[in-house]
Amino acid sequence: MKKQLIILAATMAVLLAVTGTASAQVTKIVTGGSTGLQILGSALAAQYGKDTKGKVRVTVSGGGSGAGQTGAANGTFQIGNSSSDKSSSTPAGLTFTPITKEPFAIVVNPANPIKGLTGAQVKQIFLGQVTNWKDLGWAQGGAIKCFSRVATSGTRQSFQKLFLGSISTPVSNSCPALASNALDRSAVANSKSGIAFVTYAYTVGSGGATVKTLPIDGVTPTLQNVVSNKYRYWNCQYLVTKGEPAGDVKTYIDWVRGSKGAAVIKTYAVPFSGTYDQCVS
Amino acid sequence: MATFTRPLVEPRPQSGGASATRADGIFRAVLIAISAFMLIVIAAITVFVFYVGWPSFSANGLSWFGSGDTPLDVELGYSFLGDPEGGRYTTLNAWPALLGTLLTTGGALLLSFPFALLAAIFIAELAPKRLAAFLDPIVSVLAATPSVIYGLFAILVLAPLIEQNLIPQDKAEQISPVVTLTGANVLLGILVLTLMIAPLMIAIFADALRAVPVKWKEGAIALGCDEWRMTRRVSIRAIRPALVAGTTLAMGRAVGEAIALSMATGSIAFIPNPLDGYFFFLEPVRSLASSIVDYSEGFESPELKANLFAFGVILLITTAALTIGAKIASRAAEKKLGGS
Repeated sequence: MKKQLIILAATMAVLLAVTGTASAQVTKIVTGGSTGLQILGSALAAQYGKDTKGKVRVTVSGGGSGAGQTGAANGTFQIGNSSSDKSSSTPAGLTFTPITKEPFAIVVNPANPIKGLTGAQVKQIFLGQVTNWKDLGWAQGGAIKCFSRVATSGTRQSFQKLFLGSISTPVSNSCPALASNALDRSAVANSKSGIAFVTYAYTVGSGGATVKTLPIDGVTPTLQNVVSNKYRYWNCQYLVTKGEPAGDVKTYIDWVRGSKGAAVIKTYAVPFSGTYDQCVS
Repeated sequence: MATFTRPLVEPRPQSGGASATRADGIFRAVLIAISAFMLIVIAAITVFVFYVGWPSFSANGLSWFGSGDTPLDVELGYSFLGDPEGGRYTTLNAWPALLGTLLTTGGALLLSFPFALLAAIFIAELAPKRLAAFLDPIVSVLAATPSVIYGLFAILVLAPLIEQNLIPQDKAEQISPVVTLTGANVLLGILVLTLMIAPLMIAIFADALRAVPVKWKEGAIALGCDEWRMTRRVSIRAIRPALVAGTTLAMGRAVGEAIALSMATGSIAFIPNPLDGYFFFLEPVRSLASSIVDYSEGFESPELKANLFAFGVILLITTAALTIGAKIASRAAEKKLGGS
């Protein structure tokens, strides 16, 4: 019995020593926040790990854009991920460094014959001023079933800024406020007269095929149309730091905004290395 | 029936003497410490929830429990983002959420109690042994199924059925400027809660029915009661404490259910209009618990955090009152049973 205990203790000590020395050589950068940035963030982290030959390990967790901003402010995250701009709830002293432009799309049921909408029509629908598809050219469409997101959603805030004119103009309270982009998409896929706003990522792939993405003002939301400035309904995604980025964090953010980061981002959104003011103007 | 002439637990041989007593002492101390720790944790949680939620009550007074001119969802949104002028926003009128919890829980209890009682009588008293042995584990599995599964079933299977069969297009068009009618509504909330709590009630009721002494039932039969009358007059009366306990437990689960209701009730904190007839049940609500999950991403705003914790305070008080009330009620029922 005693012998076994000694062996166990020895093994543990060796293990501790090994992991201890290993972590001493690896720099860790803790990031987290926006669930919209989680997939892209993990892809960037993996590529950065390879580029630095494993010397820097970037960890990515979720929690929402708000959690990303608060985490950056109180030190939980060295970098907070945020899909929304600064708001009145954003803690003071944070620096928002943009890394992408992410298009926002309006989706309807595939059975909907409407060919496209104008930005003004989208605004009327989600403010509750137009409530019947017959007013938009679909005589048999019946009542419009608009689906929204809860007020804390970064997607909803960006939608309100882009389509309704201001980040704090609320979407009509007659639209059910669902808890995620995915639920909005499935609500529209299941309802012939449904309409919702989602981020670009939810309009591609097999999931994206369950709904119809509408051109807005005659322009289809694609990454190409954002790059060429034709589609104007996009919002930036940010890496948020307390104060200006410095040291290892700055090295990482510069890498993300450089050509190597852009190569990873291209699959998910439009790489952007401009300033915060260019994002919100 | 066997009668026990010797104690069920053999006294331990006293070979260890003093050291055994010391071991007992240590064991007891550890157990007391663990229970005390649990009590401290529960007290700390209660104090914390009250402390964080208090500003929401103190800013609104009694109107917290009323309904305001601004819809609840808009108020919660303002408390997160600030009011339209960019100032802080502390107003909250939580009646729609309170009503959402009341309607869904109340409806589910009304629907599931008679159903669960009859099902329990069937399983415990009437079903052939083999069928009962087959049904028992099914009920247990259903009672332990995670609520998100029921939520998914509701939104993927039941919601489209309700939307296609119960909501006529003209009525939907007429109401659409006020609220979007979908398959997710009060009715679906009640159904999904019923699915969740009925198995729990069946399991508790059936266990209690099986524990009713056989001689009581035999006595009733011997006095000339038929089986139905015996069940009604003897079995159901005998299990009254279990009826109270099972219903309360189910109610506690229903009141606190967040995820399944968040998916099933339509995601608007709407106040259904009784003047709309049976459409009352096809209009959306949002309960206290599902409001907490739906808005939990916004905890960084102190105003929204206070509001959501205030919802938590109401849930804490309700469940505590239910537990204590059930203890008192089932003790009273037991006493009455013992006396008569």
